[in-house]
Amino acid sequence: MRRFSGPVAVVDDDPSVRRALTRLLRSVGVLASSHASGLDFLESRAIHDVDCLVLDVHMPGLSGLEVLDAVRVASSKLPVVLMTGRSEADFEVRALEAGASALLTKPFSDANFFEALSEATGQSVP
Amino acid sequence: MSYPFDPALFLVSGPLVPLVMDPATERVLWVGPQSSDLLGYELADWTRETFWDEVVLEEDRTEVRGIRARGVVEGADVTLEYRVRAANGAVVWLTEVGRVAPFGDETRLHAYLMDVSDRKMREVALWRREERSRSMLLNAPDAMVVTDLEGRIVDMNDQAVRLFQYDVSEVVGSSLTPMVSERFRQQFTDIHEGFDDTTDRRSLVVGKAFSIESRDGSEIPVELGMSLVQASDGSVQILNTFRDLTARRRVEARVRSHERSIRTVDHVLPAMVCLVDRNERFRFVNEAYAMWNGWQRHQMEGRQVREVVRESVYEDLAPMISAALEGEASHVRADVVDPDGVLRFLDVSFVPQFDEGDAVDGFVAVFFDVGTEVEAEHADRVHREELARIARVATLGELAASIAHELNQPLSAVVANANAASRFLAADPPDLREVRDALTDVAEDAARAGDVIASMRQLLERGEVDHHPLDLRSVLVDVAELLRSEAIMRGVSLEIPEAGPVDLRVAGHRGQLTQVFLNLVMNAIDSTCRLPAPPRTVSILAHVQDGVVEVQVCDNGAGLPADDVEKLFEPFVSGRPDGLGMGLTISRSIAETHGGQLTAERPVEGGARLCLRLPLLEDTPDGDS
Repeated sequence: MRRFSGPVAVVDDDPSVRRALTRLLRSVGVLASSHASGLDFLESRAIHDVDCLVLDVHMPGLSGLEVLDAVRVASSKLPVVLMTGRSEADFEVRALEAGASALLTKPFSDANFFEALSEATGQSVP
Repeated sequence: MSYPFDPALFLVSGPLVPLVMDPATERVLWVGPQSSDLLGYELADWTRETFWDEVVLEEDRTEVRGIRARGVVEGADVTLEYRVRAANGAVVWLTEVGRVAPFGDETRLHAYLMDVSDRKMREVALWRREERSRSMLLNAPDAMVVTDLEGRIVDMNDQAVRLFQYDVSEVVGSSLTPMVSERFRQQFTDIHEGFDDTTDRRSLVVGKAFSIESRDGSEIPVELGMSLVQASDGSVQILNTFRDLTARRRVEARVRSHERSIRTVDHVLPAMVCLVDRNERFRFVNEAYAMWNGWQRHQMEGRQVREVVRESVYEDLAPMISAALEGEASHVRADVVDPDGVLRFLDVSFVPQFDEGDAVDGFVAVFFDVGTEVEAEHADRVHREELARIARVATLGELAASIAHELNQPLSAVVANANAASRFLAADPPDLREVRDALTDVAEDAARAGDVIASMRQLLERGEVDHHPLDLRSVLVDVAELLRSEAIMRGVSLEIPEAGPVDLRVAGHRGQLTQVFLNLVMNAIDSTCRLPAPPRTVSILAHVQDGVVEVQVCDNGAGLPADDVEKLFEPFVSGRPDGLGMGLTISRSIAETHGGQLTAERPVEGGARLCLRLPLLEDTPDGDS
């Protein structure tokens, strides 16, 4: 399997989470950038430059699912990892139906994180 | 005619005293010499024209004259009895038997006198006794029936007539027994038969509970007494007394129930009562008051107040005592340590007492122990605080998911940072700058998680509610943190006030105020999230003016009901299907215990506005507070 090296966009309204995840990605040699909101991300046109999107579901303004919809309209192939802090019953189903490539439930270990990325991209992480 | 005796003897000696009177004037013409033994008067006294007027007792004079005159007129023998005053002043009863007879051409009234004082005295005594008995019989409050030894009715008084409902004439001669209730008749008869004229005359039956049947058949409970009495003819009779117990039973029952209620009241709310006279002496103390002071009642009564109560207590009571002795009543609540060292809550009243001349002759003091009421108030307050705490816990339960999410964010970051740090350390060469940054973030995020937990703990804590100075803005920040994800999930945007030039300083309990804002903001979120389309906003505004901090929680939801907005603050009114309905009630109560108020408004632009106003905590001049 090819080794994945990014670039990854992390979209989460929580700054600590953004900083931590981009740092974690850097520590395994993956290029990472972050955005504070779905709108930011979409307006930045980074969608064309990244090879994977890590997206928090619960955000003010556009929710993760709404961003996912928008992303799928623009690019059906971009790997998207959805993160959620809640374990809702039918979340998995809805997420996959919406086009998520992998799911993560916070708090997750680094192993879980890399596994999800790997699943989404089809490449090995790290 | 010759007699076998000397007739002169009869004339001059013996108990019979002969005298001769002029029938027209009754003047004594001659009296036998034994008359001096009779009354002690000399012949010269007897023959005085005014003799009879002088010696006959005034009450009898008219009768004497009348009867003598009749005898003279009718020419018949007359007997009379009258009283005279003897020479020694003693009253003597005389009986006089007289006859008119011719003497030459004139008529003379011949009479014999005899002293019958002894007999008369006996008669009068008997008569008087009879009169007394009759009077007693008549006037006694009890029903009295006199029977002979066989139980036959001889007489009864009016009370008996009323009790048995028979006239005397109807029952004289018949037996009393049938008028006694059947179940007592045998007993009654037995007692009667136990009497005979040799029985000791003391009452043999006293206070026996019986019942009688009156004429209309009603049964009346009575107390029976029986004693022997002597009739005027010397025969022995039985005096049966019947005391109607109906009234007494009623009174007894009333007293018993009254005693019960006094004892109940005494038990529940013991009142201490005392009567003190003008000279500050106890005239009366009740048991409770004596006990309180640790004295016996009889020891306290008569003693000066100062001798009995403790000096400190006397000093406290002195103003009320003086006022009372000047005729002024007073009433206070006082918390007093009793002689056992226990704090008692007393309701104290002093009531002056006035004599007939309207001068103060003392006062009554009443001390009610209202401890139970005070305890109840305290218990009520504790209960309300507990209720508020439970509401907070319930709120937290509702927020559990949100709170878990809130903790998740920092935790996720900590995990990621820690892992990243290890990897950077393991790199060749180690990237220490990244490591340092990572660890810095770890510290911050862990602290943030700790804050969330601390806010939760504040909401859950028990114990005395102390007020401390705090900045409301920090409370709002906490609440926003706790509710951020809730808001996000529901598509609601939540705005809290930016830091301003003035702190929103108040004195309060952080946990309680957090609860209030949690409640208000949750309500606002609930309301606005139902809007079909964005914007769904909850905004919190704050400003300080005229020593008042005002925080408004506004939402653009459906708004408050058009009619009575105040109803929202009543308990068990809930807009939420799973809510307790206590939120606004408790929030308002918290606002009030903080010296503020909570109101609900319907802004012109629609939606709802909840306003919390609290007094601004001013800094003291030296900057300390």
